[in-house]
Amino acid sequence: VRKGLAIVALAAAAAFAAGVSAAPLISGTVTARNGAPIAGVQVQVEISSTKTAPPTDDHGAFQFDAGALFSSSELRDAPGLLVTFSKPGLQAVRRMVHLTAGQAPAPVAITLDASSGSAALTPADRQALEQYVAAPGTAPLYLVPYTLDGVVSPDPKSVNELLRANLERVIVTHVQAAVAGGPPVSLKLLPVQQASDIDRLRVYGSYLNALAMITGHGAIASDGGANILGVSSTFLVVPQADPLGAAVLYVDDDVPADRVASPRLYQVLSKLWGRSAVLAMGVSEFGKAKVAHDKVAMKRIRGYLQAERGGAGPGDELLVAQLNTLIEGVDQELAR
Amino acid sequence: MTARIGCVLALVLVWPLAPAHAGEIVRFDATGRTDVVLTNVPVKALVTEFLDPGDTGLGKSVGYLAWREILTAISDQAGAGVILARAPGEQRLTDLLQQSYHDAAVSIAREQSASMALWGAVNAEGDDVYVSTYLSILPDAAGMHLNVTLAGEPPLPAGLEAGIERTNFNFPPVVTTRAALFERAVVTRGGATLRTAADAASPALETVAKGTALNAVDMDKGWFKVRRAGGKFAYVDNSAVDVPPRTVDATHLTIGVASYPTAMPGPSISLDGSYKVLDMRYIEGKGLWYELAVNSTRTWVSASRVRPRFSLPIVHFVAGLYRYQFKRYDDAQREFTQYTSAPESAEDNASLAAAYQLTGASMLLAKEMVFQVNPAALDQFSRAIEATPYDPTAYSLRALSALALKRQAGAALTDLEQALRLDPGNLVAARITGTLDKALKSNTGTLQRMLDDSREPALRTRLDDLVRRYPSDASAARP
Repeated sequence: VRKGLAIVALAAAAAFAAGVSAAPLISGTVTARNGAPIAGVQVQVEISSTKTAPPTDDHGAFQFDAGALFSSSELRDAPGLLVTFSKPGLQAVRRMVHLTAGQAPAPVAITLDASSGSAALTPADRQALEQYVAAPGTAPLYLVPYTLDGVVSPDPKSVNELLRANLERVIVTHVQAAVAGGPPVSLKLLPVQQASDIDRLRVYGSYLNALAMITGHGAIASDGGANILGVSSTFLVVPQADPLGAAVLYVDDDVPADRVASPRLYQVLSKLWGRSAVLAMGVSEFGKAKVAHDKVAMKRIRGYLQAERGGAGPGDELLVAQLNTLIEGVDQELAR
Repeated sequence: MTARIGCVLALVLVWPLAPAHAGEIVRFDATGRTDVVLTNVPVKALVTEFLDPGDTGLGKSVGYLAWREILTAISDQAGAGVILARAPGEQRLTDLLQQSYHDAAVSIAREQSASMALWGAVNAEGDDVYVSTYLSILPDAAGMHLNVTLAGEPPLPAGLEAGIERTNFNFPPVVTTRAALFERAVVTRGGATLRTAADAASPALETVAKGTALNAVDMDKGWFKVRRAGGKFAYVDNSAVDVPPRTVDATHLTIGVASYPTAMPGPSISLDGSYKVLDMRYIEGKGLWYELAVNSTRTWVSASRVRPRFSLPIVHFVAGLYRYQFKRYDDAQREFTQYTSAPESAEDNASLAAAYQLTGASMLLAKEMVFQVNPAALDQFSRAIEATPYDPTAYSLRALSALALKRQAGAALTDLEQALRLDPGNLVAARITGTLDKALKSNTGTLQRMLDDSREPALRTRLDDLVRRYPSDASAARP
């Protein structure tokens, strides 16, 4: 039973396909990883322009009327709202809120992680990671093994190895289809304990010179009699470059628990991860090109980001929004 | 209408074609040789063994099957060849692919002077088989760049041109079963030896005559496992048999039941759906024929009246590219339509959009003159836009076809404006817009006469605005 490729917290859906006049009311809560509400989180909403909504209250709750922020024509033409939640000391999170005609928006649940403090590498960490540090000029992504609670058979280790082989193929072929002449991309299995702390994952990635870190967690749950493995995946872009910042993408998926080794797992992940890898490469190369004032490189980057966006389709709005943000950043730099 | 406007308009596909040669099929063993095979065949594709990360044992078999199905799909196409790249013994050519994927496929194809390489990967779980397929087109091979150019007689101004730039295609995975792949009729090409095992050194059981339809039930590497009389099994090398499509599709087709391809048709029977192929024959002068199971009736039907359905949608895509290159546009359209109608095709937007664009282009090019073209060709370009709504090229291609089919610059401008909104630095859309502007301002010429709305003031205003915002000659200065 496949839920479909759902971006986590991509929950809200509301009413405006063409001709729908009622603007949606978007609401939700922002909490820390331990469940504590976070007050004072800035909420920014983007379509073609960016507007600021009221921050979260003492209960971590927020609410805004999209109709009060944007004109009806902007809302009518938009595939959704890109909402950014940020607060100093916390990792900003961006969520695409899809808008569907005739449907009341579901509350959006956001979890923010600390951006520093918890992730310093210990000597033991360094020792464990050292042999996996990427050589300069390569662009590896790392797969931190998924933890699969309640999965006895098949062996989770073999699941991860097969997942790596399949994911590498779909990611690399996707990158090769979009980026001509880019650095060789690979996906390496990083046999460390799963880093559930997103900040720690980023520190690992920085130490390894990684392009991106992929990991996930699965747990078996009952769904009306049948056992379902719910899998939450994280794709963390390690390099950072304004204006995109620290991009993290989340995907939720359900697979039948008796098909844990299923290629379905990589099939549903592959498309999004391929696109995310191109985005990661764009962020990485743009950061370097900006420092070097290399406009030739910037034009090349712009070309493949455009090509990547050109291959996107309905349902890819979140990534398209991120690609747009990056392309705009490249354009601004080129115009200087 | 043509006489009135004094021009004949056609869409010209620029895909340089070498002189045609007779068809030739040779299997290639990559035994360390660098010999180029099928040297006299101008249009070649290369198929490799499929990757098999889960060690299902199916990688070789699926590679062979894809190779044989493509051969069947283009069996009547002179000048076309398909090479199977196979490593010797138990070595794995796939190791190379597994290291650099599309880049490796391009490298292997280039060694053989092939225009494109088809490869893939197989995973299995229980009865389900998951097949991922990929197509790597050599960007520099024999002009394999797909450009659509609006041309006319008298000539149209240069610059009305757009193209598909993608050369690496990642097709959506197909979820199938061993049975759906391998349970099929295969037809002996000559006297074929049946053996006890999937090994040329294994004992021979019998030799069957040319043209015998055998019931395959499975595959082991390059060998079909076939059911013999009495329920026993034997193995036959895939090179000893032709491999028809497992099924064919028919829509509202009425035929006379025929017990042999050249037999006088008997009672009428209606076909509407998918039908299992039981046998296949090539009849000199009458082309290819299939024997089908239609309910409880067996009947022969000309292949031209039905649409083969191959195991993997990529076979249709590749066959369409072959037909396209040889300017057999009706056949190309049929193959691309078979691709887009496969349920899996919707899973990958980029390849789906390309297939729609190639379908539309095939429909345009199938006719000598543009006024003979089915206006529904435009729908194919619209579907491509639905699949890839952020792709400026999709809008430029529809703009060109709208100019030709609708003879209205207004509709084309709407698409060009969208292309430029998506990418203000898009040279293709800016060039088409600039060309239109110059041609219409001149108040003379073929394009001026061709377009019904060329003298409308509102159109001029829109053009002025677009050219001002997105000047084609200043495009180099933009990002």
